[in-house]
Amino acid sequence: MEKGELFQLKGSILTIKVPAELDHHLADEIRRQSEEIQNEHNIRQIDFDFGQTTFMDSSGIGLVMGRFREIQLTGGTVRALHANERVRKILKISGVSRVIEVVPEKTWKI
Amino acid sequence: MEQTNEMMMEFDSRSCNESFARVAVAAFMTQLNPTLEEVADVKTAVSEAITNAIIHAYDNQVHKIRLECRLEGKTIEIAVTDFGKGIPDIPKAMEPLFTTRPELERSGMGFAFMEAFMDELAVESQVGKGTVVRMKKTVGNRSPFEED
Ligand SMILES: Nc1ncnc2c1ncn2[C@@H]1O[C@H](COP(=O)(O)OP(=O)(O)O)[C@@H](O)[C@H]1O
Ligand SMILES: [Mg+2]
Repeated sequence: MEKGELFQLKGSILTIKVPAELDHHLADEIRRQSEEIQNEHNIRQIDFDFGQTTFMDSSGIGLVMGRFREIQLTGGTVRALHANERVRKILKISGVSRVIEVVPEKTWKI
Repeated sequence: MEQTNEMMMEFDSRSCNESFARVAVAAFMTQLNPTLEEVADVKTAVSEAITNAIIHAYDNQVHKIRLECRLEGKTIEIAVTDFGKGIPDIPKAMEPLFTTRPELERSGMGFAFMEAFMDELAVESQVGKGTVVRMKKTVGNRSPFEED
């Protein structure tokens, strides 16, 4: 997995393009790379982009909550973007949607 | 009598096999004609049980994990067996948010997910011998008009 494909840094905002399946195998790798970037740069916000994600288990919850706990120490925020129904369900059952902002995949303009 | 179908596989406790295991179960259960959501529920539960065997039972060392599936009528039964360190206090381990490995960023939600996404969950374990996680789900229970 190349860093360039997964991570995008814009100012102090780090966007993590979550792969199609976020399990323990990939969560571990993303955590390692993300911690590296967080150590090198002053990150104020981490956006998890779930636009491509069709599968996530509790390892994904660990990854999101781990980043939240770290960045919260310096007053930063974490968001979950483009979350489809499945991802929202997982974030809800685990209580994550009570502590971070979850933005659904589509917002219909009326 | 209703028709049954069984499969069993054994594979190494490597994290790259997590996706292999859940895809195999998803493919096997298509015979039940499940909804996408039911497949996703089972995949999540299988992923949790396999991940636990890799991380907790075997401490990331490579040993064997056994995965058994049985279809009967509209029901899928799954058993995930490891021969690892075992669970000393099962009720405690099954509490939401409980984890013995917070340093690995475990969320402690694995058993809670298995419980939420399957109809039945039973855990047997012996310290120093290993653990069996049994799960059951019947598909096609929901009316198409039912909402979450
Ligand atoms: N197969 C297993 N072998 C040994 N211990 C296990 C096993 N499965 C679960 N456990 C124990 O139960 C705890 C809770 O498991 P779980 O709910 O999946 O949360 P997590 O994996 O995030 O720690 C684990 O932290 C571990 O101590
Ligand atoms: Mg677990």
